[in-house]
Amino acid sequence: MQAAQDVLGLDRIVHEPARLAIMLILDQAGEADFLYLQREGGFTQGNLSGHLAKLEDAGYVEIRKTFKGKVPLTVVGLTQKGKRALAGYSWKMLAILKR
Amino acid sequence: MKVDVASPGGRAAAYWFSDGLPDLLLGITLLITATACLPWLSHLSARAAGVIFFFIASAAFLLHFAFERRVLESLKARLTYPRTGYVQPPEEAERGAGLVSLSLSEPPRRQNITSFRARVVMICWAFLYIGSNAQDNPAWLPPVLTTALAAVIYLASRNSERPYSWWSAVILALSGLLFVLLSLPVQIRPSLLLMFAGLWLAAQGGCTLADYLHTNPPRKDESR
Repeated sequence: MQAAQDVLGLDRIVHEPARLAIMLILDQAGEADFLYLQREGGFTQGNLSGHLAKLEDAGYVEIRKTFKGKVPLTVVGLTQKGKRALAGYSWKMLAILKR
Repeated sequence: MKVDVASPGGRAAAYWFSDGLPDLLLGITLLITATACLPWLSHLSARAAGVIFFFIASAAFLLHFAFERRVLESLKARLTYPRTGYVQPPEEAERGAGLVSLSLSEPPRRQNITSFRARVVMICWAFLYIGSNAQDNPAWLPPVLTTALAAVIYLASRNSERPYSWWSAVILALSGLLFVLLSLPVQIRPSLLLMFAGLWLAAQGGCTLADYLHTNPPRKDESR
């Protein structure tokens, strides 16, 4: 019963599979742009934009505009808050599954 | 180049090598160094040629790795971005990370990634030192060295983001036989070996780049 309560208490922003995949990619890869995330996660453009907007609203990712040579580049990276949220989610999930 | 690395971090690091530019640049550096040394090394004694060549090649390695990231970023911005998107390049090795990953039976993926370059370069450097400073330079030394070098590089890189294929290792191993068959002067053997390695790396990098450019047409807009 306690495990069920703990599952309900998981961070739902992180728990969604597509957003979890985005956060895991960014946690290991560092910064990446939209096209890389799209190819790596198999997302459609609209799907990825929607999930990134939710993560940005929660303060878990930072979207930064810069240049690569003369071509504009929009890169996405995890914030400290995002890293903490991902670590907290992993820890809680592992604790639930170990029971 | 086919890369099969399991973690997102491994795939992100492998992405840095997917356009062939890192191999091409290192190959060109080795070719220039060896070509510049070749004409005058034959006029020196074998011992002096070995020592001088080792120091010149070491300086070339250091220069290459001091400026490699900057040059590659610039080339990638002009040639390959934004065809397949952008991801942060693999991090530099922290001091001692290579030793940690070599001493663990299953090193953590991130350490394995970041120590790749330092590991392969240190291996090449060690073999270059042995080849350049060996007493008497017996005829059997080049094939033994190239075979050992090929085996060590293949084993050290097979789980990394830039694995060298078995056929690439076999060609490197067999290259030592050329030195026996052609009975080349002792003084120019190390520089010829470096030239061969540079040619092989540049050819691999050039083919990978051509394939990458052909497979991924340029995009007019940024990747969002």
